[in-house]
Amino acid sequence: MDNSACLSKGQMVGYVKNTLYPEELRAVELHLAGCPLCNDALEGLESQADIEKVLASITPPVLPAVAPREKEKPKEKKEQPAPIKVEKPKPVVVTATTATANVITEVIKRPMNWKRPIALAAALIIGFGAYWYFEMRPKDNKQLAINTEEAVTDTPQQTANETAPIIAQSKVADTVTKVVAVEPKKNVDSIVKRKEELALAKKKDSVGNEKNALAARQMAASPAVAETATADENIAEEKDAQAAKAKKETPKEPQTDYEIGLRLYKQNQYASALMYLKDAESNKSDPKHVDALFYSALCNKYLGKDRRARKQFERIVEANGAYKKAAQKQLDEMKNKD
Amino acid sequence: MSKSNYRNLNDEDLVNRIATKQDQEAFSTLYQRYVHLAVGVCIKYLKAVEPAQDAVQVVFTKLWTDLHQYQVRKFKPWFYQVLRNHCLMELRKNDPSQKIVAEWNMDSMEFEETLHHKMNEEQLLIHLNLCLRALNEEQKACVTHFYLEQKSYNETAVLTGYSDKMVKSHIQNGRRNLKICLRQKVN
Repeated sequence: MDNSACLSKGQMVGYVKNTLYPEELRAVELHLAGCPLCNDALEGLESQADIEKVLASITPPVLPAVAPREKEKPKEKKEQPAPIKVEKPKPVVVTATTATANVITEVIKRPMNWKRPIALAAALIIGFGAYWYFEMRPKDNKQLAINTEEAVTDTPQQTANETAPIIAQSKVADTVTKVVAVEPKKNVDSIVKRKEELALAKKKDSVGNEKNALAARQMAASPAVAETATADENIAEEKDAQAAKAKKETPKEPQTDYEIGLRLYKQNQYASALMYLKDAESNKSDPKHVDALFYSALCNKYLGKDRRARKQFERIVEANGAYKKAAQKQLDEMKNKD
Repeated sequence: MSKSNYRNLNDEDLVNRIATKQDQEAFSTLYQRYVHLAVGVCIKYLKAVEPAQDAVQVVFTKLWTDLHQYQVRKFKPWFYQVLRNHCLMELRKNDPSQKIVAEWNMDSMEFEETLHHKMNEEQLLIHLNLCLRALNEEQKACVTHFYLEQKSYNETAVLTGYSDKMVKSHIQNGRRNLKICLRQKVN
């Protein structure tokens, strides 16, 4: 028997089946006379036909996980044995004066079923925000810019054709003052600013056109004004000439396959050069196709493709072109090497 | 601690280990000691094996989770009462109109275990003799045969001519009356 005053499983079964020795039977009966728990248990088990089967069919309970509570003292009020009661945890009341750290810990202690949806929602909001900021906003600005440019290109023609210069001048003055009046508003957003800038540019253009119109009229009216106008034109012509010079000075980028190939050949990139030169030499309409053939042969030579290079040099010699001598020289060199 | 050491611990020590440390080995030892008795008690009250086994599972699971909420001085009477209350609750759940009165036998159990603290042996014997004489004839005969002459239930039944059940009943009732009598003498 364990260190327990009550009957063991074996004693219980032995007593019911009457298989106990007299001494043990005496001990069991003495215990039964004073133990209501064992008496009730025996009474219950005796009512069953096969006690051993009943006792064997008992399945142990699956214990739920419970945190150890070494510091907690058991309640004093339970003096009498009483049925087990499940105590519900008290709701946590967070006052306004409690520290934020306490609030956070209380929040963490609660069951966290809502944590995942909130994280998901936050991620979605951030994602859409980022998408809007990086993708949608610049597009809108660009679109706005395109629209306003179109509007600008349309309006000067209309003003030049329709309105008289004096009226236009007065209109311009009005609009400029309006714009100046609008300028102090610095808190407007970027789109509004952009619109204002475009409006200003538009006005400037219209002013320029009106100036030209006025100049034309004044030319007709007075020779002095005409002189000033011609002076302005001369300055403009000088500027055009300077721009043309600058254009000429800038090195012209290679456009044809031959030019690209030649440039690559000069940079000792023979394989890359060969690709462009092949295209150039196959194009018979290209006046440089013989030149391309020569440089292509040189590329092959430097790449170690002697047989191909030799054939190409022979073709150049047969063609009897400008590169005949050079090709012959290369052929001789190659023969000497062999 | 090894398993044999757990077997040497009494019920209250095991309960203390379960309540404070959630000791699974202690719980297992206690379960092995009382599960067959618990099933027997539940079968007696619920009149069927399966509900009894379910009830035992529920009671032991509550024991594991809620034992720290109670101060259990004597495990056995406490556990017996918990079992009985659970069974009566189940019966009421099944048939609310049924009137079931729970008896309270634990006072006598506790009284019996602490009796030797309250009076010495000589006094106890004198009072016991007086109380035995005060019992009715059936109870006196059965208690005398069973306790003083150390006969078994069967032998007592043969000697007195009562059935086994009646002998058991007379012995238990006589014993209870003796306790009541002794308590009165002590007070």
